[in-house]
Amino acid sequence: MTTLSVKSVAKQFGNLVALDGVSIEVSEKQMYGLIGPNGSGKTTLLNVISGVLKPDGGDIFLAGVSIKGKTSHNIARLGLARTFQTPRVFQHLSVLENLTVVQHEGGDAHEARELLSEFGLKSEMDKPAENLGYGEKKQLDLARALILKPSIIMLDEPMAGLDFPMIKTMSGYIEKLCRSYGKTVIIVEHHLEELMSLSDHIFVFDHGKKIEEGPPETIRDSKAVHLAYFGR
Amino acid sequence: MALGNPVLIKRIETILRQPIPILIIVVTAALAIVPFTGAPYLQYALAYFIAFAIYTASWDMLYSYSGQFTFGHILPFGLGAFFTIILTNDYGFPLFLSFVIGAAIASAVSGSVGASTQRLKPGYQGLATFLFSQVLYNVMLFIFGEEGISLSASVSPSPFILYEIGVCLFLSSMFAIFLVEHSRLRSKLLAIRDDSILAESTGINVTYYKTVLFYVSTLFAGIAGCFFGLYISHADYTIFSVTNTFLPIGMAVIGGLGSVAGSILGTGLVSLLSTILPISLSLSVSYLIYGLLLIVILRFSAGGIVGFTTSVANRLRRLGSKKI
Repeated sequence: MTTLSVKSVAKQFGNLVALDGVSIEVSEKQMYGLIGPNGSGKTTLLNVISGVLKPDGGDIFLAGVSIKGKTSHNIARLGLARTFQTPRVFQHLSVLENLTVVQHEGGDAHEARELLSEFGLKSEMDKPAENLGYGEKKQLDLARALILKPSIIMLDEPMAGLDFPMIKTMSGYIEKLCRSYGKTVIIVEHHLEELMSLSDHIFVFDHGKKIEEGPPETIRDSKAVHLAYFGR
Repeated sequence: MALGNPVLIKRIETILRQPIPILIIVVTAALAIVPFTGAPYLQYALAYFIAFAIYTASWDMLYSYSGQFTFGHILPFGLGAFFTIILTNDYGFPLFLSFVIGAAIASAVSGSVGASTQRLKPGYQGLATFLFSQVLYNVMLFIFGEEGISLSASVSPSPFILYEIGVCLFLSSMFAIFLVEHSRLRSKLLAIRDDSILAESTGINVTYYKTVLFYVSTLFAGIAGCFFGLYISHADYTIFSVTNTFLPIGMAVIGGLGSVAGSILGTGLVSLLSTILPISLSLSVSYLIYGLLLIVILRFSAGGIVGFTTSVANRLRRLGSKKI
């Protein structure tokens, strides 16, 4: 069942066309990868879907309801959570408070503690979030996204800047989001091997356009993808 | 009965055991007693302290708990002073009613200014609000002239009664600001201050919380202005001066940002410099000392007096635990 539908979305910054009539369909409880060279429009698409940027054209439907033009907090409350390229934390709050502060009415600290334990932050709960390491902040990003009880989680380069063992750990956490918690996950990532092994379906972008989509094995052999990445 | 509620009683007990409420109560008690010494100028100096402490705490609440930086907080303060006197003099409102309506108008006008500028980056928001206050400076000069307006002697209560009302306002406003800063809103406001984009993307309605806090903060600044205008029975364009605009910022920084205690201590020290010290030294020398004090605080203790005392207390505690 389609849970997110992006229809002919366009976004321009001055003369730069960041998104040029992009359309994608996302089904529930699936893992999607968004790949493409730098500047191809992946993060812009996440920003437009999550309401950080307003699209210049097209429409976006979340569970059949148009979210075009809605504010970020409304979109989050409708069930779409996201993380950012650089991990962001509420630095003057504790790790636990980073979750409880965004919990919906009726949520309790017990649930937040359990999630933090699940994502490897059990011993860090009462520390100020600013004292966390880079990788731990990325783990906190995942836990915080999950506590919003979203139907879709969009992750912007969750493995960027991590060492190899941490990439494997993060990959396990991301898999858990979809396979254990039943969330639809959209990942923008440059670690293609990890992304290929995680994703059920991949969208490829270049110069603001979707140039290819399909299961990982199709994308691996796609001439259009090779052309976008290697120029031949 | 709400008052018999054990949870409520426990919460009140917990609040009263904290150092800030104790400081508020002690300062209030001292403020209430001192005028009985019969020194009129001292009473004026303390009335000045009361008004500016509320004004400073309201500015600090806005800045430290939502990251909204305004150089225009004198707007509600000045409007409060003007409207209270206008409503009493020209419309014959009782003083109490003029006070309440004056504070409400001050908050409504200034809150709207805040709401219209809150999407600007902090520096630009500061500049925009400052320009609004400077427009008011010129508007009030144009309408009321250099002499301003004075409260009719026939309706003006004795300064002593007004002063004691001011003491009650100090107690209630400081407690109210303390409670806002320690309510369930606290973590939401801190989250917004830390990262408004992240807060928004996690479902927190940033615009709503910022707007509400702007109105609440300007309401307290309006109350301070209403009291100050009534106490000195006068308001003129100089109330919107640049000095009055920047004083609460200096007071909050010297005392320590993010704490009612900081606002009280900072205002106390700066009030001493601007009202008591000029009796023996010139006003210029007092302001010179104020400027130097600000530089020293910014250089050596970014947390102000509260930050300094906290770090000293922590060091002493660590030393004590090492010896054991």
